Amino acid sequence: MKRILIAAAIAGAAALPAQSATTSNNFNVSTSLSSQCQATNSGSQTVDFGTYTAFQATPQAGTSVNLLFQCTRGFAPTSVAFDTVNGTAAGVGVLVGLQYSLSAGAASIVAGTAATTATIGTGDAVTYAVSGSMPANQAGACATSACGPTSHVRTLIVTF
Amino acid sequence: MPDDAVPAARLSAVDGGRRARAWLRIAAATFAAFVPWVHAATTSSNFTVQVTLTSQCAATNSGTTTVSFGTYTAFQATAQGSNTVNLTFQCTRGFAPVSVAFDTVNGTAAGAGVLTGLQYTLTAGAPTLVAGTAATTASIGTADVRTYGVSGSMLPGQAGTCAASSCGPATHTRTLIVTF
Amino acid sequence: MKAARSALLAAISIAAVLGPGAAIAAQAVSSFKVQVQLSNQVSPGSDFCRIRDMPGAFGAIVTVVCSTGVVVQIDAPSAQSSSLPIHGGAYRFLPPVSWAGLMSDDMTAGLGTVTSWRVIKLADRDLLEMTVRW
Repeated sequence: MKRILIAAAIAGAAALPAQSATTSNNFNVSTSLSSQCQATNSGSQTVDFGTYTAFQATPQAGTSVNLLFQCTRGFAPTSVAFDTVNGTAAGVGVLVGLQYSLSAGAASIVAGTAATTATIGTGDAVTYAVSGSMPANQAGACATSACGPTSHVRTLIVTF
Repeated sequence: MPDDAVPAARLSAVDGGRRARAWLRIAAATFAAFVPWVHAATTSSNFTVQVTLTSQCAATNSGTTTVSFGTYTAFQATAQGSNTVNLTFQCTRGFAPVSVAFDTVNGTAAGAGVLTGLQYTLTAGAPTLVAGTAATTASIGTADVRTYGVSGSMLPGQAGTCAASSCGPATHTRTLIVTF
Repeated sequence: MKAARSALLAAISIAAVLGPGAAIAAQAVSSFKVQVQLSNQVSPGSDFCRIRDMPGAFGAIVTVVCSTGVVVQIDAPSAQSSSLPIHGGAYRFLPPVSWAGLMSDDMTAGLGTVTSWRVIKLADRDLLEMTVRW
């Protein structure tokens, strides 16, 4: 016997009132860092020996300057030297026939602030104090009663 | 008794009536004997098929992608970008997302984070949709595929944190959390 | 392939950071000036010394007092050694000469010009200084 079926299918989303669901997808974040140090006051400082009188009895001191660098946090310097363009790597040079010698003190390091999600932070602040001295009794090289002020450029090279 | 088996049909009280009643009895008996072999009518009964669907979305490529910033040189003058990863979800057809955010385990919900002392920010683009195919009596169909493009950027001039001349590649896990 | 690509990216990143005071690889440089003014004039710290009224003081042949207050003793040089570079500085001794050109005190000299010689030893040379007064 045949039976005639009448079927009704009800499908569809039941409206869930005020209920939210979350789904997560994980991924990696990756980076490499090349550590650096960078001079921050290059070209702005002068070691000034003032006026040197020929044959003066006492050595002449130059003004002391602070050379500033900013570095990757935790990245420490290993050695320091002067340029060999206007003198020796040890810091000796000659200006108007007057010999001088420079010296760089030990690095003074102030740790930078760490980066957070709110700030990029700051680098470590590395400071080198450079001073100079001219020996006494130097004749100098000057055709007139006075020469100068005369200057030339020296460079501090810091190796990390 | 023959009289009881047949519905009484009033007949005239003559001899012809007696003969007619006899024929009627025979006919009725014959009809009653043949009833089971005749297809004459159908009958139907209706019922309801009902279901409640809980809409869902599920991540399909979780844990397989990496947002990479390459090598950042401390104090570099330009911002550092990254590649774009596509995070895919399969969803109930027509079910749309409401909002998206990042985890707060390795950074902020807005997408900021720090890796080797370098701050970065992540951005999730508006999702793209590839609609699924409807179900038919012949196939179950396919889900909607929703894709989020995620990329990142690092600000210039950062010092970073590293005791050696270079550090990395350093990696940590972030999560895109989609709310529906 | 990936390592080569990231090494190339690192090299480009490093090369891109160049300029005054920039860092290349593992070095950082900072430049500064060195400056001096050279004067050939006598500095205010030195002065002339003259004989005061104290000849023979301290057993010395000549004793002079400089205007800075320092007492300088000048001995006659011995035959075997030159004068030691004592007293230092740029002190100059002018023997007293009268208007008539006569040296006073125990010094005997005729009319004429009294001169003194001094050798100044410097780092790279010796200087011969002669003082003439007329």
